[in-house]
Amino acid sequence: MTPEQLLEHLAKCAESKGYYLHADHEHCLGTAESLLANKERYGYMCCPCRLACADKQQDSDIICPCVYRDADIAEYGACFCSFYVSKEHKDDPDFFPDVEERRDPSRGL
Amino acid sequence: MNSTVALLAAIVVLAIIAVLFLRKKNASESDADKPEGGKVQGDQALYALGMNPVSEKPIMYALTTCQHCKNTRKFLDANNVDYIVIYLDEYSGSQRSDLMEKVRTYNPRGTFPTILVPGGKVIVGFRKQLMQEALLHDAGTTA
Repeated sequence: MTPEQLLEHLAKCAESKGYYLHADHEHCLGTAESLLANKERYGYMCCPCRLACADKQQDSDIICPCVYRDADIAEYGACFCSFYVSKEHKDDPDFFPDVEERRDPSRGL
Repeated sequence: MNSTVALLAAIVVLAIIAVLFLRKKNASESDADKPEGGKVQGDQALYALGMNPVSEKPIMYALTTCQHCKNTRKFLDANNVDYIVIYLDEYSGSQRSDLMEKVRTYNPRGTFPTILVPGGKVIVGFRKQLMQEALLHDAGTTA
């Protein structure tokens, strides 16, 4: 699968939930490349903005889309990586809010 | 004649045994040098620096896959800031967790990038304004 194909697939999945991919295509393409790199590295598409521990069970909350996405988009308008955004921000390529990490530090490494 | 052949055969057998023994010994020594799980580790000098981050240059803890880290690097490069980057995802096993623990001492959330600025400031995330203030306005902190 190419990064472009992955983006197309994820955009469809996101829209079915009322979310959109970020308007900065270069940012999204880089994120898709990183997701594929993590798939190759760990066997699953772990969040590229977080350090995986390489154990699928332990990383299950940060497999993209992570379990924090809904709450992050509701509060900030974007997910932790600014990959998924709300409808309100779907056309703004400069929208990169500081999304505070809500994952419990004890879950990761 | 027979005893000469037997002697030569014994020498050949002993030589083969010696070669096999040495090859096995070298293989086990090489395995001992490998990190846990036989996975490739990142640069060991950078690991040591990451664990004891003392430098005249800013030190950035980052992930190779993180867009915020890439944007931060682009910004620093565009502003000719000399810095050191340590990619935690290039390490595995205890070295990865050791480095993560170190990052948490400066940034308890353990997020990336985490930048240690000479003088003690810590910048978390892609924060242009903070980087400008800490790295571009303060002449003493850029290399």
